[in-house]
Amino acid sequence: MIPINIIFKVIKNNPDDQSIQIKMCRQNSPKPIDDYPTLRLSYDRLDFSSVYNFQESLRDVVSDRSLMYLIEEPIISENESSNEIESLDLNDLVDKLISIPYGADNKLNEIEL
Amino acid sequence: MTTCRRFHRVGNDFALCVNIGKKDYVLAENPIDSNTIFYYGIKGIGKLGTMFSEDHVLVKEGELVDVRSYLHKFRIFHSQEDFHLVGFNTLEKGQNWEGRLVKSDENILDLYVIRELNRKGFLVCLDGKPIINNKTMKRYEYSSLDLSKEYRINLNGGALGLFYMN
Repeated sequence: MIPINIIFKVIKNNPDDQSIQIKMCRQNSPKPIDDYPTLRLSYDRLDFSSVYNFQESLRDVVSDRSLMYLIEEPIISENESSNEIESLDLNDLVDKLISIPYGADNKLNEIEL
Repeated sequence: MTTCRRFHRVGNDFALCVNIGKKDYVLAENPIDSNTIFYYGIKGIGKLGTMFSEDHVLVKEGELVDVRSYLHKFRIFHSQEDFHLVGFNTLEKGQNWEGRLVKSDENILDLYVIRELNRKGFLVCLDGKPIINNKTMKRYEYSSLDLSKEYRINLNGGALGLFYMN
């Protein structure tokens, strides 16, 4: 889980076709929410049974989409790296940009004996 | 606050969970959240048991502990010392695996039972840098075993687990 707020803005409500148009992004995004694409969301995806359930149904949609935007964000040239850790010597790491996959769940390393 | 750092490493057939923490760390687990069937103690000692019961086993440094009997129960863990444990996890709840530590005098890996049953076997480095067929394994690395091969073992002060799905 990424512990940040997600922001969204309903751009238009379309009761005629039972949908809303909505923009969303993470709150610490480097660009304004208005620069993100608009998503058309059917009322079917939303739960109007209570304010809480409504919020949770929106949360599902906006969280997924905001995470997707985060993943698709371009890498600035200063952060480009394909270097991996190659030794246990910390001195080898000084001033090098190392890239490792995000996440707590990693693959076990299988070797042939 | 007593904390514990946990992480998972997932393979194609099983997973390892690693728990590193301080004395008096307490963890309660719902059976749906845990598939751990063996624990190996790299460091420290802890009690693992069923919630609201005196029944427990000790997970100790240097020992592989069978916790299959707790698989479907609400578990509780209490560390008696600072600890570092490795849990062997199935990928599905219904799987039954057998496991044991490779013995210090086991110069050739004893695969008799696995060969007899014709099961898929795995050698897992639980600690240290054991040397197998002149290749050094590192902690949490594993190898699928070829039952037609012979494996020359030098534990080199480390610990190896031999596991197979039964």
